[in-house]
Amino acid sequence: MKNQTKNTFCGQTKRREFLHNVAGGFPALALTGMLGADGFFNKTQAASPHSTAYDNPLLAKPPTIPGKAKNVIFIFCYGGPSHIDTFDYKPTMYGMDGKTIDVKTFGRGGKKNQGRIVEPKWKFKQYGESGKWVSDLFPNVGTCVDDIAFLHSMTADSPIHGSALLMMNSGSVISGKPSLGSWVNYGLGSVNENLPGYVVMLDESGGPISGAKNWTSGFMPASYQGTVFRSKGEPILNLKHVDGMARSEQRTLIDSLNHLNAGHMKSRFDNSNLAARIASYELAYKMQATAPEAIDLESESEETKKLYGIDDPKTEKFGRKCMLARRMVERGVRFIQLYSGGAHNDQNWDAHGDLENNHNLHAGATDKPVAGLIKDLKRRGMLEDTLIVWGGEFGRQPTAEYAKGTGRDHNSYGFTMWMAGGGVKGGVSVGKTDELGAAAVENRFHVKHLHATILSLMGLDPNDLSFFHGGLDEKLVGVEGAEPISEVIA
Amino acid sequence: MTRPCSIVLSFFFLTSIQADDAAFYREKIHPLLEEHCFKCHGAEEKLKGNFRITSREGLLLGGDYGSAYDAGNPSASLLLEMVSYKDDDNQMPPKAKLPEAKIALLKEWVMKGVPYDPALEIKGAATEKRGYTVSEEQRNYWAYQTLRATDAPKVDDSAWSKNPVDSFVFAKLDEAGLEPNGPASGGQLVRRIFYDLIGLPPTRQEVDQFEKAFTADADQAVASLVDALLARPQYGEKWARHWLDIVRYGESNGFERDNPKPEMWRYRDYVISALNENKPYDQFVIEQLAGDEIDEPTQESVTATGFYRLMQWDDEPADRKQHVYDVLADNVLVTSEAFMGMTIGCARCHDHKVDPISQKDYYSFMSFFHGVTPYQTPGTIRPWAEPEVLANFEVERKKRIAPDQDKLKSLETQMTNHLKKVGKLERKGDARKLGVKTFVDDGRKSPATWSFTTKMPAPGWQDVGQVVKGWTKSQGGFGTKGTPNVFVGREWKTSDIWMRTNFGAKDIPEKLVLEIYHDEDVEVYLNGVEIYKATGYVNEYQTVELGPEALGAFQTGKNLLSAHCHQTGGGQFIDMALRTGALKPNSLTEALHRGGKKLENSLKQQFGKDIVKEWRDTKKRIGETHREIPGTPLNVVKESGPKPLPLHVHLRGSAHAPGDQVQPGFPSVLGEGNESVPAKVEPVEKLGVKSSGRRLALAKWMVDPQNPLTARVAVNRVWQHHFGRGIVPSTNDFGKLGEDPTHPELLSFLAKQLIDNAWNLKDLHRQLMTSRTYQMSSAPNEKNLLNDPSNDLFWRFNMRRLTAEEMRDSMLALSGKLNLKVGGKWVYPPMPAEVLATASKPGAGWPVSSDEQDHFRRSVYIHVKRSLRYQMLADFDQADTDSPCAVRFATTVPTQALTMLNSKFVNEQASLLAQRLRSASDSSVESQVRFGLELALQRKARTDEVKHCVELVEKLKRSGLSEEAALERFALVALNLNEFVYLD
Repeated sequence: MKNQTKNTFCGQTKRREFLHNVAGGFPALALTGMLGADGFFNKTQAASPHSTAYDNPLLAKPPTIPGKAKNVIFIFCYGGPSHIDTFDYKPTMYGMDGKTIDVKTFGRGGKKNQGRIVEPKWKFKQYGESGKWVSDLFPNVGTCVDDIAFLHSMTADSPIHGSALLMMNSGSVISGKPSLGSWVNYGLGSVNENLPGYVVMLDESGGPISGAKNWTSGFMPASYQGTVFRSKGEPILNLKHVDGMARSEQRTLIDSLNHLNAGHMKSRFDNSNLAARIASYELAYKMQATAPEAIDLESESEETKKLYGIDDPKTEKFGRKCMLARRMVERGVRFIQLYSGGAHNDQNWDAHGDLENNHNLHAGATDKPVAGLIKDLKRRGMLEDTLIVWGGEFGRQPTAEYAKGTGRDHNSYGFTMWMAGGGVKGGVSVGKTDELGAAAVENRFHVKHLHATILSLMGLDPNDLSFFHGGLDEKLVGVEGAEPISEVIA
Repeated sequence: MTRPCSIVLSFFFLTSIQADDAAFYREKIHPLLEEHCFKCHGAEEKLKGNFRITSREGLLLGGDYGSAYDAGNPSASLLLEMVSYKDDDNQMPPKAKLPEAKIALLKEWVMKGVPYDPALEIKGAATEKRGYTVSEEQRNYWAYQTLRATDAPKVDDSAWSKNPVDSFVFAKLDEAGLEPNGPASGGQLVRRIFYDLIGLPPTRQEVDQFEKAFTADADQAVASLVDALLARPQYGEKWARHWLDIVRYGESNGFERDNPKPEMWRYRDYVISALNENKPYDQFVIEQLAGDEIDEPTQESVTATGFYRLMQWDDEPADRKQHVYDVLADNVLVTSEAFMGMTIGCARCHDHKVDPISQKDYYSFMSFFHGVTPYQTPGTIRPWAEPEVLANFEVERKKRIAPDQDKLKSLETQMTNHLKKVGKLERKGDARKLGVKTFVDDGRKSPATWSFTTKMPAPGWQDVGQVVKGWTKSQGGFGTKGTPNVFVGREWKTSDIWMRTNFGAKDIPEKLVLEIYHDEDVEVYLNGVEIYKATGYVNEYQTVELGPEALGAFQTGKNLLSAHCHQTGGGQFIDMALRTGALKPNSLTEALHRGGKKLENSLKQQFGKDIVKEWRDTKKRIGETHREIPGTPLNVVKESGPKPLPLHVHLRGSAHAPGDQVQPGFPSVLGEGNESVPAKVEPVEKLGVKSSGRRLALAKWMVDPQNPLTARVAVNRVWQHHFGRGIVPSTNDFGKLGEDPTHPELLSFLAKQLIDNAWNLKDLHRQLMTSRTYQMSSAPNEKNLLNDPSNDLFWRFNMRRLTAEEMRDSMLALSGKLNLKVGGKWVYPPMPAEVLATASKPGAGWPVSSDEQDHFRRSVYIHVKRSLRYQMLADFDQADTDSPCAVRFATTVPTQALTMLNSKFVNEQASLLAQRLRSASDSSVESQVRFGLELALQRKARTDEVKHCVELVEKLKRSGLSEEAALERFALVALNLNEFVYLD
C-alpha cells in the first residue's frame, strides 16, 4: 500500500475492520502511560485481547511523504481582501479611475461584461531582496516578503460567501465535507493530548457565515472537528465549572468517579471504551490547567508583545491571537485557524461600500501582528516547520459595484493568497492575473491545488489521504485529485 | 477518412505528404502537446476525462465529452473549442489559455486532419473500457438475489433456541466451537429493553416490577415488557431518530442565511406516529416517496413526502443550474442508501468503480425525481384539507372578503377623486417632466415586449446567457382578460408564468424602482440576481425601491429582467416596470407613502374622519383573509405537471455537459441486460394536482416482494439498533465496498418473513427481543475474546453507550424535569453564549423558547439548525445533517468530559436531582446517596458504593461545602458514571 494512512483507522488496514470498529463504537483516547502509572489499568490491559484494538485517533502519526511542516497557522481574511490593493501590483491601473471598460466579472451582483474601474487605492513599494511589491496596507508584512511565496493566480468555484467559505475550508461548495484542519488531524494526529489538535479563533464580532460548518469534521468523527478557542477569559467552552469549582474539589470528584468506574470495569475489563472514557476525564482535568496556561501571556516579554502589536489598541486583539497561535504551535497544536473579521458587512473584509475605510481597518488591525508572527517564529527557529497561510475565500473585482463609490464586489476568477514557512520557498511568486486583476491568466490554480500544497508540505499525499464514506474514498482534493503547487515548495 | 483528397493522390505523393505531416507534428505539435496536455492525458498514469491525446487513436476516440476531432467540420472540433476558452465550463489547458500562436498551430494541425508521427505516439489503452456491461458474477452477488422461503437450521441444543433467530446464531457459534454467553440478569435486561425501545431509563418501580415478574417467568416478563413499551409513544420518538439519521434530517437550509424550513417538523412527527401506529414498512416507504401520488392521498401520506425537502439548499448558489442538480443528487443518494442500501450516488460523475451501477443507471434513477419542483425560500408549501373543505374555503373566502372589497373600493374612489382634483395624483402627461428614465415599461403606458412561457423551463431560465427555447413573445400585462383597470397584452390563465425581457443602459443608475402588479408568489431577477420577491397578491401597481443587490446586478450595455409568477386559482395578473425613480404618484398607496402625515391630515379634514386608517385597516383585513391557508400547511413535494423536462446524463457530473437522454429506470444489475430497466409510468392527478407518476412507479418497485434489497435493508437496520451492529455492518451499503453479512441466511430469513408478515415492524422487534441471542449477557469470555474478539458471531450481547439524545433525556428524567409532550413544532432550549457567538449573527436564528417547559422536551424535538447544532448533542456524536448517517460514531474526547462536569445544563440537572433525593428520602446522607445511585444506575446500590459516596459527601463538607452543595456534587458524579452512560 502506497500510503499507510489510506483506509487505515485505529492502525488497522482493512476497510472491514474499520467499519466494525465504527459499529462497535469509536474510542478516542489511549490510556497508555496515562493511568498506567498508578497501576490502575495495567492488569486489565494485559488481560484483554482488546488492549491493542483501540488507539487515539488524534495520536501523532508519522507523515507519509517527506514534508517539512509540522503545524499550520491559517490566517483567514474573511470577506475577501482585494488582491489588487494588497499584494497583486497593477501599475497600469493607476490613472484609469472612473474609466468604463469591458471586463467579465461575477460577484454577488451577478455576471457583468462592463464596469467602471476603481484604481488601486494604495501605493505599492518593493521590499526585500526579492523586490516583491506590497501595498501600503501591509508595510510590516512587506518586510517579510523574502520568506513569503505569493500565489497570484488563485481561483475558486464560487463568488458567494456561504459557498466560497465552505470551498476554502473544505474543498467543496456543498456543505458536509470535513474541513482542512480535520483532514490534517486525521492524517497526522496531534502531539499534545492536553489541548485540542485543531483550534479556531474567531473575531470578537462573531463567526464567519455558516459558523461551525467552517470547522466541521463533516462525515468524519467529531474528534477531528475544530475547537473554538477564545483569546481572553475562558478559552474553551465549559473549561471552568459553571459556578466555579476549586481545582482540589474537581480532583476529588474525578477521584470518586475513577473509584466507582473502576468497580464497574472490573467485570467488563475488555471494554476499552470504558477505559477511554475514564482517561478522558483525566485529560479534561489536565486541559483545565494547560489551556489557561496557553493563553496566559504573562510570561511573554514586553518586546515580544510589542512585536505583535499587543501594546497598541488597534492591533491588540489580532496580535494576541497571533501570539497565541505561536504558543499553541509550541504546545503541539497541529492546525490553528485565525479569523480576521467576523459577522457581516464592514466587520470583515467584505468591502462593498467604502473600500478604503474597510481595508484600512482590517489591514491596520492585522499587518503588524502577522508580520510579528512571522518574525517571532523565524527567530525562534520555528518558521521552518510552521506553515503560515494567508488569504480569504476570494478576492475582489477591479471595477466598482455601484454607480458611485469605491466598493468592489467579490471575485473568484482570480485572487492572491500567500504562504510562508513550513518548507515554502521565500521571495517567490507564482501565477498571474490579467492587467486589471480581473482573472487569473497564467498558471491558474484552484483551491484544491492550495489544499494539495498544504497537505504535501505537511507530509501527506493529497491524492492518497482518503476517508471511506458513502461508497467513496473521499479526499479533500476531490476524487479526481490535484497536484501540489511544486513551484513554491522548497 | 480524414483526408478524402488523398485517395486520388499517387502513392509517392501521399507518403511524402505523410512525411511532411509527421514532421509538422514532430516539430510543431508534439512539443506543444507534451508541454501542455500530456501529463493528464496519457503520458503518465493519469487519463483525465478518459481522454488520451498521446495517440491519434485516442484523440479520435475522444473522452467523456466525445471525439476531440470532427472530421465533417474540422474547425468545429472539440479540441479547438476547448483551447479557445470561449466556454467558461470547458477550457483547456486548465492552467492558462495558450498563446494565440500556439492555438493557430493547433488549428493548422486540425485542418490537416490531426496527423501524428507514429514514432512519437504513446499508445496504451485509448481510454477506460467503453460501454457498460454487468457480469454474471456481479448479477449473482448475494444482495441482488430474490428472497426465497428458508427454514431455520436444525440445531442440537434445542433448549438454547427460543426462536428461529437463535437457531441461525447458534448454528454458527457451534460451527466455530464457541460457547454462547449465559443470560443477562433481570436488572441488566430491564435497562437494555427500556433504552432500546424508548430511549429512557426505567423508574425504580418499573425495575422492581420487572425483576419480580422475571423471577416468576422470565420469558413472559420480557414479552409483556416489550409489548408494553412498544405501545408507549416514546417508542416512536426513540426509533424515529434512527430513521432521521439516515435521511440526514435537518430543519434549516444551511449556507449564509440558514433559514428554518417552515413546517418541516411535521415530517418528523409523521415518522414518529408512523412507527407508533406500526405502519407497515412498505407503506412507510411508499408514502415518503409518493404519498401524494397514491390512490388516496391523506394528510399523513402527503406530509411524508417532506422526505424530499430535508436536504441542504443554497438560496444563493454560484451556479444555479448545477445546484438544482446538486439537490436532486442529494435526494438520489439518500433514497438509494436509505431504502436500498445501494451507493448509487457514487455514479454521478462516472460509472461506479466497484458496484455494477453505470452513470446511465444513475441518471435513469434521477429521472424519477426530475418532475419535482426546486425548493424555494418560503418552503414548498401545500395547504392540506379535504377537497370539499378546500373548495368551500375558497367560496367562503370570497364571501368574507366581498364586503371589505366593496368598502375599500368606495374609500379609494373617494380619496383618489379628491387627490386628482387637487393635483396630488398623476394625471396623463405629467410623467415625462420628472426626468425619470424607464428601462422596462408597464401596460399603463407603453408595455414592454416579453418572451414568456407557461411550462416550467429548465433551471437557469432567469440567467444571462441562457438560451430559452419555445418561449412566445408578447406585450406585457399578462392575465385574465378583462381584469379591471389594467391593460392585458396577452391572456394568461394557467398557474405559472415565466417571463424575460432585455433592455439596454448607458450608465448605472443611482436608484432603481420596480413598479409591479402581481399575483401570489412572484420572484423578479435582474441579470440572474434575485431583486424582488413577494408572496400574496396585490390589486394595484406597487412601487418598490430596490436595494443594493439590484444596483449591484445592474450593468451597462445589455440587461435581462426576468420574473416568475404563480397563482393558485383564477384571476391572474402580472405586469411590471423598471425605472430610475418613481413617477409622480400613480396610486393611492404611493401618494400616501410620499405625502406622509401631511397628506393624511388633509384627507382627514376633507372627509371628516380618519379615512386613511379605515382604508388601511380594510386593506390589511383583506390581505390577511387572502393569506389564510385552508387546513394545514405542509412543506412537501410538488411537481410541475404530468410531463417533466427531459433529463440527460451529465458528463462528469456537470449539469452544463449533457450526454444521452435518459428515461426513468431501475439499475441494470437488478434487471437482465446491460441497460437500466425501464419503469412503467402513468401520470396521475390527485386532488386536482397533476404529477408525473414517476415516484409512484419507483415506490411500488421498491416494495415489490421481488425487490431483493428493500426488506433486507429494513430488517438489518432493526437488528443494528438492537444488537449494536447490523448483520451487514455497513447498513447503508450492501455493495461490494460495504461489509459482508456475518449471517446472510438469517438476514434473508428475517427479510422474507417481514414481507410475509405484512411488513410488520413491531412484530420484528418482538421476535428479536424475545430471542435468547438478545437476552445474552455482555460479559467478556477469555476464550471467545481470543477467537472472535469483535463478536462477529454474536457469542455475547454488545455493550453500548447511550446516544446523545438518550444521555440528555435520561438526565432530565432523573432530575424530574423531563417533559413528555409528544409532537409539535420544534423547540429552542437555551444554548451557551459561547456557542451562539460562533454564528455570523450571534444569537440570531436561535430564539430561545419562551415556555420553559419546552426546554425540557425530549431531544428529538430540539430544532436541527444546520450551522448551529445543539452543542451537547453534536458533541456526543449526533448524526451530521448533510449526509446519511447509518452508523453513528461514538467518540470519547476530553471536551465531552468538560461538558459533563462543568456545563450549566448538567449541573442544573445534578442540582435538581439532589433536591429530589433530599425530598424523597429520609434526612440521612446514606439514604440520599443510595437513592441517587439507584436512580442513576437503575439497580440496587451496593454497600461499598454507598459507603464511598457517603464519604465523598462528608469529605466535600469538610472542605467547606454545605450539605446541600455536597449532595449536588454527588449527584454530578452519579450523572458522570460510566455505568450511567453504558448499557450491558
